[in-house]
Amino acid sequence: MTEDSRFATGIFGLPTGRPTNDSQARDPLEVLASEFVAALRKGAEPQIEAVAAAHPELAPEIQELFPLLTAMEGWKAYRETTSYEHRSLETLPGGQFGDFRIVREIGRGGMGVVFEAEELNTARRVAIKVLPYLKSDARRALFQREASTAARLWHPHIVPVYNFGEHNGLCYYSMRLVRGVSLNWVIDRLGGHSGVVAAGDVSHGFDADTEDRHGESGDETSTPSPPGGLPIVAWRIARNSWFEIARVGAQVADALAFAHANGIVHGDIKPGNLLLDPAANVWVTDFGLSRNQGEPLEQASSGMAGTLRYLAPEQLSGRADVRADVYALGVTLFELSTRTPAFGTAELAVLTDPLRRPELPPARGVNPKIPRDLEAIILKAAAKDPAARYDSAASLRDDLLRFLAARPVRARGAAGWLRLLFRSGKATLPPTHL
Amino acid sequence: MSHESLEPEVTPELANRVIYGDKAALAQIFDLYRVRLRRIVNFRLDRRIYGRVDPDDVLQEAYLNAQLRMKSILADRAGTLFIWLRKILNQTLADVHRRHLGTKKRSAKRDISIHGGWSTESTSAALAIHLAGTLTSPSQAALRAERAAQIDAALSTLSPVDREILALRHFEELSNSEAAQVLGMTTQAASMRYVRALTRLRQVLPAPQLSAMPDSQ
Repeated sequence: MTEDSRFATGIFGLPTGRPTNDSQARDPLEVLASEFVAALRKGAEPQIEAVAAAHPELAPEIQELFPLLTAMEGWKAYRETTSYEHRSLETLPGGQFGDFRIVREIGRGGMGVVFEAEELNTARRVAIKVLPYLKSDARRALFQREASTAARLWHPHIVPVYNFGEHNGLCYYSMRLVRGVSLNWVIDRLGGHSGVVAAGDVSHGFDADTEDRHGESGDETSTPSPPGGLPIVAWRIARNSWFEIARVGAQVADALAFAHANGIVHGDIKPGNLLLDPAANVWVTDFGLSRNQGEPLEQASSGMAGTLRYLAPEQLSGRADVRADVYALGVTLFELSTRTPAFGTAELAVLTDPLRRPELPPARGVNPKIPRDLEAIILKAAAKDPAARYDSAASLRDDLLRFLAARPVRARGAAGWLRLLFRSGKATLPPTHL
Repeated sequence: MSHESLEPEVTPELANRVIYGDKAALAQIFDLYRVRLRRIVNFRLDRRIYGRVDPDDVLQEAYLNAQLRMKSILADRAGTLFIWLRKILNQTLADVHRRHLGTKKRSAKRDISIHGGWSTESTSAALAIHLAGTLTSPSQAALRAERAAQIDAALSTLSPVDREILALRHFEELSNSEAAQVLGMTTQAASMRYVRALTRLRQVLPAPQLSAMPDSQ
């Protein structure tokens, strides 16, 4: 609808009672701004400097105001929740979805919603992650890259991706159904009145409806075995189960080491992406942010503002390597050990500023029962300066293994072996495997 | 060169047919404007009923209302067909809100509140859906979240008219002349008002937030 179209005089030529538009009467800044915004919306990436150079008499105002235009459009894009996308996922449960029958929703994370589903051909139960409607080809391509990246990784502690595809415009991928709970759930439960998570709780937690996910199950006597699954080993994690926590950490670190060796950084390690199954194994999931090393960070897919505290400071500046995953795992272990959010109630502005992000506080300050060695490992993993961290997930894993074997950990420096000499009454642990 | 052209193109023939009561023509026009109208619903729908009301249902209801009002289209004296549809859509939205929220506290201020459709508090899950489909990295997403909060705060300090013109131009994506018609101003006045609103917003937003925009979207 052009400004000077006949509609300026009203529908079918009838006057509207308003003066017809004279474009010369418009504020020239507004005219330029409108063109700038139109270009922004088309994705043309207009340059403020170019506009200022072309209109030097308005240059100061252009430079002052035009960043606002970008900010406003960015704000709108951010807020455009596309509720219909959300809705499209809500209508799925119970229905048929391509080759699957959706059983129920089991979680939300990363870029989509995860459902338990049944493969129609085989009756095998799988997990399907479905993304909201992706509008452009670029985004679909990004999704396919995400799925095929994840599908390359076969490791005892990485959730295997089986297949990916598109149905009714919704992209999805299928993966192993882990009948467990996320570490978020575990952290919540450890903070609850029982303070214990047992194998039965994990199956029960998995079976519970999503809304009940954080409720108290309490009943440890009924521990249904998952159909066709592993027998439930009688293990438990309590608040002070340092060895269980370290074992969890070592499993994740091993998975990360494997991914890194294959050139893949996860990029979004956090309790929500770590699943614990009834056999006390941890599974790393949601490689939705992973990118092959060497690619610029801007090409990775989106993340959640709510997981900011797990992001390594250098990730915020766009330079991230394998040590970003080490950082995130360190923060995760901090939260497992202290059952508190890592940076407390720090403001978003502080957390997102790589310069202002604080160092992780000593874990023993929050929970004095944490063994010094474990605290040292956590602090070294989550050091703000990447150079101060473990240089690889494998190093972190090895130090956790040392902790599990009651050997001195590297995190405490060369004096570790001296402490071993003076340590008294330390029980010898039976050999533990991952 | 400085025209404002907004797709889709609506031909005089199509417009005439609508005026003469051709429902098929109305359907066509409605379809052409669907994206823009949906954007308005997304933006203006009160977030308290967000989960209960499907924006597509609102559009459907607006379409039926438009059918009913076709007879009086000339009397409505809207400047353009889009403006006419938008008016009907807003009346429909008002009906929807009244049905779901009752007649209490629909003050004038509320009607032009920018926060009608957007929630500044989101659960992580909702945010995940929000951010899905954008080509941003976690760091960019984090920074955008920060900026969104800043802009929210800044917008709330503006006068209602300033806020509204920014909403019309940016969130409803109206052209200057369309905004002028909605606000009952001349195009010149609307143009100047927009610049003034931007200037005032700029005064409220801290500079570092603007200079380090990570994305060019």
